[in-house]
Amino acid sequence: MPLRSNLPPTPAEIAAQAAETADLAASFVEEARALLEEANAALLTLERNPGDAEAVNALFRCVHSIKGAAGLFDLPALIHLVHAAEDLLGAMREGRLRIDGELADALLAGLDRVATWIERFRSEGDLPAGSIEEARKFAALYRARLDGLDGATQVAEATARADAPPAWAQGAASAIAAAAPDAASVVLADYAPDEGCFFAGEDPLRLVLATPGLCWLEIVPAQDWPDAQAFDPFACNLRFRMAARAPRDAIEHHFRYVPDNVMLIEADVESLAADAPKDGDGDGGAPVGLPTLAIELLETQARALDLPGRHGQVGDIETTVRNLCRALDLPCPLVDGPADADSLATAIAHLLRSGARKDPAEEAAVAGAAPMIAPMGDGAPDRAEATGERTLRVEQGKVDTLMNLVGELTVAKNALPFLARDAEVRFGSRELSREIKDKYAVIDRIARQLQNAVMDIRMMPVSDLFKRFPRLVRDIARKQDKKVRLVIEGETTEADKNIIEALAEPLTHVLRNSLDHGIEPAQARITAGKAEIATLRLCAFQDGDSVVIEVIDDGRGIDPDKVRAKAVERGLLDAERAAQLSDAQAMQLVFLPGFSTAEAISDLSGRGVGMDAVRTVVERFGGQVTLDSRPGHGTTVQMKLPLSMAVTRVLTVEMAGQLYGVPMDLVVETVRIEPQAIRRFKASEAVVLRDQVVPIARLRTMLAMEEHRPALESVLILRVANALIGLVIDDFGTGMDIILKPFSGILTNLSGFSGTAVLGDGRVLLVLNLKEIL
Amino acid sequence: MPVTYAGDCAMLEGQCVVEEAAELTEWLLADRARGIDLAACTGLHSALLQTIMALTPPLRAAPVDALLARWLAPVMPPVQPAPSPRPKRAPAAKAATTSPRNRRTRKATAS
Repeated sequence: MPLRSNLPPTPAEIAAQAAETADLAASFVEEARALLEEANAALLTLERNPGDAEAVNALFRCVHSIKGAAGLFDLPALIHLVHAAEDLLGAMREGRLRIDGELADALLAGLDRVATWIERFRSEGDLPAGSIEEARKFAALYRARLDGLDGATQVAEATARADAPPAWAQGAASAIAAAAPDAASVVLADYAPDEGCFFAGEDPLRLVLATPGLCWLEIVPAQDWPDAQAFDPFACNLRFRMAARAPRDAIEHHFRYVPDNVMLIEADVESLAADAPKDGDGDGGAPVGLPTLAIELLETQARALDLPGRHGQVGDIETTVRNLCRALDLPCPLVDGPADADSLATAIAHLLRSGARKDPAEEAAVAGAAPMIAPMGDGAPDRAEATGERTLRVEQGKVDTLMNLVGELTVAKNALPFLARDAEVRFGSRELSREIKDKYAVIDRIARQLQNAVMDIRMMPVSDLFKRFPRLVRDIARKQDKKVRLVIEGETTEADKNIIEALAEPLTHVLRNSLDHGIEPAQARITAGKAEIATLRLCAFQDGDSVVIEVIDDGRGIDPDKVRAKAVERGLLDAERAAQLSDAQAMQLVFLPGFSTAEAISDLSGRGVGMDAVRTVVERFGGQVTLDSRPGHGTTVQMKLPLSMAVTRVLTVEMAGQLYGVPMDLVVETVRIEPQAIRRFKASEAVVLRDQVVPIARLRTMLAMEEHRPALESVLILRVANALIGLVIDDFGTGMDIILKPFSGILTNLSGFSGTAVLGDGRVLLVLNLKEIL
Repeated sequence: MPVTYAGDCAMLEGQCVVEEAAELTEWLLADRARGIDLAACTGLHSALLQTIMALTPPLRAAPVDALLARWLAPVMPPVQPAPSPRPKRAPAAKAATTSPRNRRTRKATAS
């Protein structure tokens, strides 16, 4: 019996599966995304080092896993494309084919297409119309490489055949026209089943006879019939050519399980006859065999079994496995009676293992397709490993809620010292006060650990961010014909998820700038006496409470004179001031809004937004970006960001009885000085501190409060934008960790403050945005 | 039992499945004069179809089933009494034993 006819689920099964399909689809999308990323990375590694067997294997595994997972859903186009890629990779894995730039481009493009489809599947639940066409194009491209390898088929032939009506149809034009007298156009299909297709439970004839709108059929042997004694009834040697009066989609859908073996062409009945028959090229080389549907089904079941929430499914999987065994006439390894998940898994593994050698005839039949069968066996252990990994995917919103709750807890906890003081001062119970303080110490410790734990969840290695760049660098370098080696260091450095995500765009800008403006074409580099292949380094490391990311190139560097000239030309500053700037200062001009040194605006960078945008983003997240360049030797861009944004450490300062917060990372020191030590220079004031002149600003003046002249001035020495400045305040408070909440609502645009925090005693702390005020 | 072997004629009845192909092939090869009867056949697996196409046994009766009759007629061997080496209907009444041999030698020279 044909395998497929046994499989359609009963209505009860459909109902049971409906709820789980959504879950399954979500897992599939997640998994496919991860696999695609991995595949991308492996492909890039492979391109750099074509002999890297590990990378080929990894790539193959990923592609294979995507195919297996996609088998759960009705995604024929996706499977078709991935399958073709898999064939190609199989050849690579066996060392029959070596990767080159062109091939890598084709594979990357294919992966991109799959990624788009996955996203589409996530949002719409299906693939866009015409996807099978695209899949076929990719498949033809891959096949062409494979065929070119075998020296059998010409690339041009493969592509030409795709559009023109085939010779056989032209020869049979009158018959087709007679069979479809009133039809303007028919769909011509040439179906060449795999030799081993019977073992997959396929019955090509049944499929063909059920073709919608079938109006003409020709059944021919794929190759001449062998000697009667040598005839093998189980090696399919049939080829079906048919014309059908049905929409192309319907035909495509009808043959969706054998996309590799069917060639569809929509043809005009009249033009068919008009086109003179050319040389009879009917035989385009039998397509490389599909892995047997049964194996695919089993794998799919095994995968379904591995998915979380499988318990409701065990019954379905069991039914499928039993049906499959019956259809293939195999002894079912399952004992009678309901099976549990473990015994099912064992049974499936057993079937998969024995699947390839259940019949010597089949072995002969699939010998040509060995590269595809072998990996099936390889795939199983991989999956077993995957289940060993214990990770949990959690929605970010949940972690954020947890984070907020920890923040609230911290604030609530901070109320206890105030309570202790009240107990002592207002209620005169020193003992109670001590008790409260003891308990506070315990709660404080737990709250801190909790906070660290939650922050740890949010920590992500920068590799998550970096992994997209090899592709970016490769693509740009190829486009610009430059030779670049990207070196990534410190991938394991961790930082808060928000920071990592926020950095993606600026980092892209910086890398593009380096590639576009910094790195010279290979020829120019050789002339300059540098290595032909440029090195672009992307480093990350932790520096105290900050994470530092550096982009270092060994390109032509930034010419300070050019920058000065450009800045003047753009009217960003006048010539006199530009001339006064040191070289190092001049280079910082690239951060000014509206600055661009590129001679021509390219599609990569140089739109005058790059570095300005980078600085804006980095500073919004409380970081800073610096640039250092040596003309002729290269440029370093350094971005420094706080490790975590959740908790901000501030120093409280008192102003007219009101508390304000100053970000701790700006504070260099706190000093109390005699009022007369402050010297006036015209309108401005300054103090000499350890032989250094530090300009003074008065916060009271800036906040428009009335003057206040204490016996000793409290001065906060701050480092703002690489310059020291003294800020005169009323009094120092203490340092504390706060959860900074940005202003919202009508206060959103309030300048001078970066946000508020609630103190333990319920008071509100305004946190100053000193970069803005000073 | 979809295939019954009676004398020198195999009767294919109902839905004939892939598993029958091996036995049918063997049976037909044992004596090339043996014929088949498809009259009661309602479904033919591709493996059986190609067996018939490859071995061209004398056809005692063509399928009655409309679908099979319509689409398979061109590839079926001619209905008996005498099979012909050519797929086209040939009126000649030749000895059944000669035709496979003829065919075989022709194939051998062709390939």
